Amino acid sequence: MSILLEVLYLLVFPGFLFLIAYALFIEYVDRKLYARFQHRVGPPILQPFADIIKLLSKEDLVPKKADRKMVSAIPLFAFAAVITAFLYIPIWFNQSFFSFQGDLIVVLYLLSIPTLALFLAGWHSSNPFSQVGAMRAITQLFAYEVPFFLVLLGPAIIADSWSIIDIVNFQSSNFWLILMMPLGFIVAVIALQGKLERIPFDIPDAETEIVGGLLVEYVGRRLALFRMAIDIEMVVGAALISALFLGGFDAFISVAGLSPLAQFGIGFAAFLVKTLFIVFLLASIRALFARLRIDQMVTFCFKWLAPLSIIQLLLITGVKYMGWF
Amino acid sequence: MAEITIPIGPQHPALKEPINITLKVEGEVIVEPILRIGYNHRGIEKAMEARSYIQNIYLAERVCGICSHVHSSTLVQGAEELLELEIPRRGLYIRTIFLELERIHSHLLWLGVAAHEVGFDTLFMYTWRDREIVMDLLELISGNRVNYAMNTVGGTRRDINDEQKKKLLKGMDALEERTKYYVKIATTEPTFLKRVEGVGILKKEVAKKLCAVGPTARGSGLRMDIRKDDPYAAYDEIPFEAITSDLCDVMGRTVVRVKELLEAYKIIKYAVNNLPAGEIRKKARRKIPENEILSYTEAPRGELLYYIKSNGTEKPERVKIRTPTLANIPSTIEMLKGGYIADIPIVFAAMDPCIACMDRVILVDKKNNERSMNWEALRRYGIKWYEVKR
Amino acid sequence: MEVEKEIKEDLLKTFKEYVSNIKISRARRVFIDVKKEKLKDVLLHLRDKYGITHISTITAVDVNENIELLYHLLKDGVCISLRIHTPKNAPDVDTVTDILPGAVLYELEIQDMMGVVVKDHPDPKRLILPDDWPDGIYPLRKDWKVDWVEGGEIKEE
Repeated sequence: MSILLEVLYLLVFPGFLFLIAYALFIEYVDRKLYARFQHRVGPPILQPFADIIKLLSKEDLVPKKADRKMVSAIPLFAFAAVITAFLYIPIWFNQSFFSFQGDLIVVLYLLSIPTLALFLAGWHSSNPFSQVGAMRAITQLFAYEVPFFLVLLGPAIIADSWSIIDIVNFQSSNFWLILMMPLGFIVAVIALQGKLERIPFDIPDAETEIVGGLLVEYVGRRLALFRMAIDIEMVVGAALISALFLGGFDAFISVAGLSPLAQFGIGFAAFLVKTLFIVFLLASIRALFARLRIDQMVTFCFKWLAPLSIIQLLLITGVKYMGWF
Repeated sequence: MAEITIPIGPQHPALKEPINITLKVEGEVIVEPILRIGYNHRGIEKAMEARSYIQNIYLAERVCGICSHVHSSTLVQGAEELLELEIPRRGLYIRTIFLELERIHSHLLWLGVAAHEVGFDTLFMYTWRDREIVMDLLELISGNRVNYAMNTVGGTRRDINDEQKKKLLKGMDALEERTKYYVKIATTEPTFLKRVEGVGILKKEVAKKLCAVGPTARGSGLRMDIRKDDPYAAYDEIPFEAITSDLCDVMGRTVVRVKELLEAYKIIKYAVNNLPAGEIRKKARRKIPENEILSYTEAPRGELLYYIKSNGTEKPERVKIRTPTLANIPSTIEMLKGGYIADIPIVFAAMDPCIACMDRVILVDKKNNERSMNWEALRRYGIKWYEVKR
Repeated sequence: MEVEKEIKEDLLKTFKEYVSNIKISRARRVFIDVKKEKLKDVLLHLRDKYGITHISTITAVDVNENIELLYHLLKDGVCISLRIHTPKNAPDVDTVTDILPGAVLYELEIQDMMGVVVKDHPDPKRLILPDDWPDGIYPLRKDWKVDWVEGGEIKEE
């Protein structure tokens, strides 16, 4: 692959520019759906974009007691991690420039970084509210990460590969893995909701309790970076789940004889539809429930999500052992 | 884990009005709540002594933005009693209809706020949308959405005509249907239940000891409803039930309020259907003979008390207002102890605090309005205050 | 009217000259004058015999040379107001929070607004007035005028 193509790939599509645009669009879809569920009008399509522009133009403030370097660096870490994670997720046919055996593990690790960054951000702002938020974020991390990792192992075991593209190819030649692991899909979506810190798991930034928690001292462009990072995290999370459970770019159409452009078109359309479907699920969960308390959240994860994901994993290993796949 | 002191308020998103709770917490558990009020004191009791009874009606209405009608009703019924005036039944019925409409809009507002405090924003949006029905009815009859100016010494100021009656009944039917849906949500939605069940426990004996009032007391199983115990306005003729619940937690208070909504629809329907004919008010003398009176009413938040001492002139000698929120503060502190930080907003909201009602005085210099600080001074003052506290 | 009359007879019999001027102004409203030193005994008697534990509020009224305190007790809609007098130049009263714990804020309120010193109060602090409010100035007294406040400063007389 030529250097030029690689740069184009990284910076324009599906890298930096596309990802930002799509993340803002996803935020719009999420907010609009949430609003319509509540009988509200909801924001216009460019609202998330306008929000980011507004934040970028705001005054830059760092608390006196906080460490300026840390406070500035942390959002960059979160942002870089989620953007990198997206490179390993295939969004059209046989697009695997960066893929290698084990990229699933890398994506999972990269997806944990935003939460850790949020924790550090909250801790370093030296504000009681954000420190309580930071403690909650880290407590919550251990609760949802376990089931999330466990259920995402399932597809890898079935497809006999640690590479996401292999798992997707396995699905297009066999069947979508959601048919085999509906339980795993549900657990993954719920855990993703926790990862994104949204209702009912928006405990670290519960606005009525700790005034926005983690990011309470963040303003201006640093806050904008964090917001972008969380939006992109949502895209990556949705894309990952759709790749592992919903067959990724597979659209039930044989693409063998088609031109590369048509292949790309079909795969990309499937990617959009599936990620939007997962965002729809996430928005519904957000509209349906009340916020849990941190102890209830942890109990819920270890009492329900973790056992369910272990059952799922055992079933999968059983199937594999019997040699059915 | 070390003890952290968390300041909540005077400005805090969980509090719609200024109050200060300083919390000593260990991790997520509250060790000691310390309460400080007085940020919203406007000197209404003192101001009442300088105004005539008629002027005071409108001042009383502004004690609270949400329960405005009940304040003016309490004042005028005190004045009427001092004058030994017989009020036309139609006037009393209209006053009752407004008292109940106000209870509906207050309880719906509360339900929305409570849902918001536990992060259940969908219910919040739904209830506040439906609250518009009752707000429109209030506006239809009185012309105002909050301070209705319906009361006067001797009766009410506006009548209800046939068309308005029809609209009232229609609105009540619509609200009744919606409220039944909310009852279903509030008693079955699992995450909402998790946040309200067993939270903010106030045992019956403790509630009794600390003199809780209103839905807070009724949610702990105390049967205390001034409308039944000491009937005023037209409550002696209208059939209704005093709702209590033995759950003793936030859920109990929610159940009480939601069921009271259903009772309120019944009361309004009865009152509209049985509205007596005749006058709506009687002319009253301006000067009120020397005497003293206690006027009790059941505000949406609990028992409201006015003590009025007259001195033979057209101005009162002394007016003492005791609002339900102040009476519920000791119970709320009790509920917060040993709870979680995450539960503060809902526990606090569960008593439906109305700080504006509670405080009632701040000093504003009439000549040059100068009891204000600039931003920098306020910031420095705040930092210093908390450093001293720590 | 049964309960009100019964309480009236009973109090007159038990406390004799310490209670006076018992007025039943209408159904469910009783006003009773009590000697200051006997207030707690009357409260205890009412609590133990009639189960009256609910105090609605304490009203302080500035009456000429005295400050009048009214303890409004409520039981099933029957309101009994106990009235005591304390001299204006040195007003003080014993706390009743050991009998009626619900009175804790009302006592602070009369202390702030009328300057009645509540002896042995469990948590004596400012409740309503600001922290920097000068001592010895009580806004609800009749001699207090709004003009005392000027430009954010309290003018001493």
